Amino acid sequence: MFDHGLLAKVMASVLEVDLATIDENSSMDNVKSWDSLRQMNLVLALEDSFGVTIPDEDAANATSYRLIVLVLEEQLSGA
Amino acid sequence: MVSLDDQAALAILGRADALMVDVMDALSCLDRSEVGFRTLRLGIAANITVDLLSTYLRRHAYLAGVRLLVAKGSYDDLLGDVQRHQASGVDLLLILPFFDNLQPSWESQLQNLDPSSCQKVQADYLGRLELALQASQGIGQVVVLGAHLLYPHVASDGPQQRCLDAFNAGLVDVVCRHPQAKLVEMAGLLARHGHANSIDARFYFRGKAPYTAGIIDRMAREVVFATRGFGSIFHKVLVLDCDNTLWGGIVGEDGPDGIALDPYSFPGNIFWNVQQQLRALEARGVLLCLCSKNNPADVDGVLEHHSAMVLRDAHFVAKKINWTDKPTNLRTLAAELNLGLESFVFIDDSLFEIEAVREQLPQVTVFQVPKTLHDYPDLMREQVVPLFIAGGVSPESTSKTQQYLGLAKATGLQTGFASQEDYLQSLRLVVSLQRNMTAQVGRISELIAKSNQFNLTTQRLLPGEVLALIERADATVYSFSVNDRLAQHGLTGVLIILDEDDAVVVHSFLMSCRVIGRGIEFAIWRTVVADALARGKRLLRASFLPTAKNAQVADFYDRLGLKRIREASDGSRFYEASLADLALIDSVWVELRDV
Repeated sequence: MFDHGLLAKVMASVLEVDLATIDENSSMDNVKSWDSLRQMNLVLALEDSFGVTIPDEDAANATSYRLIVLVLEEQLSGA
Repeated sequence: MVSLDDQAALAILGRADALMVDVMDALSCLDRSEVGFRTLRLGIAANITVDLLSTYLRRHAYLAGVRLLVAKGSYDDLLGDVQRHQASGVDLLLILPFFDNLQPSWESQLQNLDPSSCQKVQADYLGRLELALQASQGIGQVVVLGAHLLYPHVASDGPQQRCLDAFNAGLVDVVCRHPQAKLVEMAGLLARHGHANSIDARFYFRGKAPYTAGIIDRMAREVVFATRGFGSIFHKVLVLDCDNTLWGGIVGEDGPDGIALDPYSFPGNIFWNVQQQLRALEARGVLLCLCSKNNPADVDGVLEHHSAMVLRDAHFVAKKINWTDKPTNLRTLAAELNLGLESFVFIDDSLFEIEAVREQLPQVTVFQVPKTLHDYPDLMREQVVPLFIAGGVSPESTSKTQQYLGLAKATGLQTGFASQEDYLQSLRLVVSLQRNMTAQVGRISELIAKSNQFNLTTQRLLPGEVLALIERADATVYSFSVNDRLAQHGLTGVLIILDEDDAVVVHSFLMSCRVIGRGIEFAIWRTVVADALARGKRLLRASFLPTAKNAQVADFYDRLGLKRIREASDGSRFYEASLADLALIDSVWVELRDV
């Protein structure tokens, strides 16, 4: 089972927002602090917490909660 | 009070395997804490994106008791960054020149450029660095990270390696001209961490962020070591057990020929390697001591006769070879050397001894010899050595053992004289007093950072701040060196005077504990007073500000002969005297040389 709690916690910590504000609709468009710099940190923190490596294209493009879930699920199933 | 939350957060920051997100959460927790962390501000000037460096610098700063506020700076604007950081009043500056980004894909370009074009680009950066360091003189400390290759697998005589070597030599050259600056070597750190684990090509090409979190964490740790925990760490003494610490086996049981110590075969080669590292530490000014439950004759026999011993008797400033418990011996060593136990590091193979010291003397840093013996040289290199020398050591620090042996000898001689004054006379003490010595700023700041006991105001100044005072017309930074017939004690005292209207005010007065008890502290005032009168001053003002460690100088100004005008409830004492009428105590046995 995908750990949604962990994803929300990592996003909240890296993006420096309240955990309660993170939901499946969160994205770079509606979280103000989520810029391209934070995107890099977010990818590194997600790799660290989920124990996966996110490929180059996905690292740049996974800029919403739903896209991140897709990317992580793909990596976790392949692991 | 450190709350449980704070303790848990600090424990997370101290765990080498902590997840990045846990580190971030622990930092937020500590940022909200009301514990009185010392707050310092650090500015970064880099030609790449190193956003995470701030996270990891803050991690290691909190572990050193410092709340670090980091200003990240712009991208690749060295002079602009330094000016902005300087204007905003940062305490520390970190400069990071990433070699491959001196120009776009610099390492690849180098293959196609003629040497003079390469040289021009690199000289341009070094020129800007020189200007930046000139502009940063008011900043306490500047750390410059050395350059390394993005693609290190190149021929040693190829253009990339040659240009890198030239660039690093240039960095050394520039940094050496500025006492407030320090260079931290990077190529070895990357090699050690593993190049593949250090570089993240994804984000280098997309966002000029080449480093992984792992190497950024290591870099941050190096920066904190280089600043001695932002001035909070100052270890001086390394106390060593003997059996299974300096050599393998037990000399009392195995005999001097039965212990394991030799350059060639396991496990003797482990101890031989460690002794080589210890000897290098001693040569850099670290005070080595022995503390071992043994018969003194057995240990002395090994020190004197064992052919593979790297360390000999003269390398140790003090030895406690007896059957007394180790905490008691460590306390005795601290008293004899006149140094605080927080400046002690202790290594032993026995968990029992380690725990006893940890329990009774928590201020001592302890290391147990690893059970997997092949990790021992690494423990020394990675964890023990950086406690002493990562901050850089001035040339003067290197012959400390000789100076302390001089002190031990002096203590031993003391009994043969009719009076203390007779004895002091016999020492033929010479104090050389100098003013505003820019060339000595490194040693002066080192002394300011670590003098606790004989320190009247305990105002910690960083090298840049000392330099700034030297430049000021209304400030005089006196420093003095002490010699006697037994030892050259080197630069061991600092006195900073500020002019305020018709008065001179003592900003700082401190001495190394190595030279306390000889009357030197009284000898220098005649010159200071004469200088002040020559500048047309009328009054001398001074104060004593109490700390946990400086009680021994609480009445210094009373003894010197100043009039106490006020004492505050916290024990601070304030003095004022008319310069013309001063009748100061003097030490006639000290020859004062005004240099």
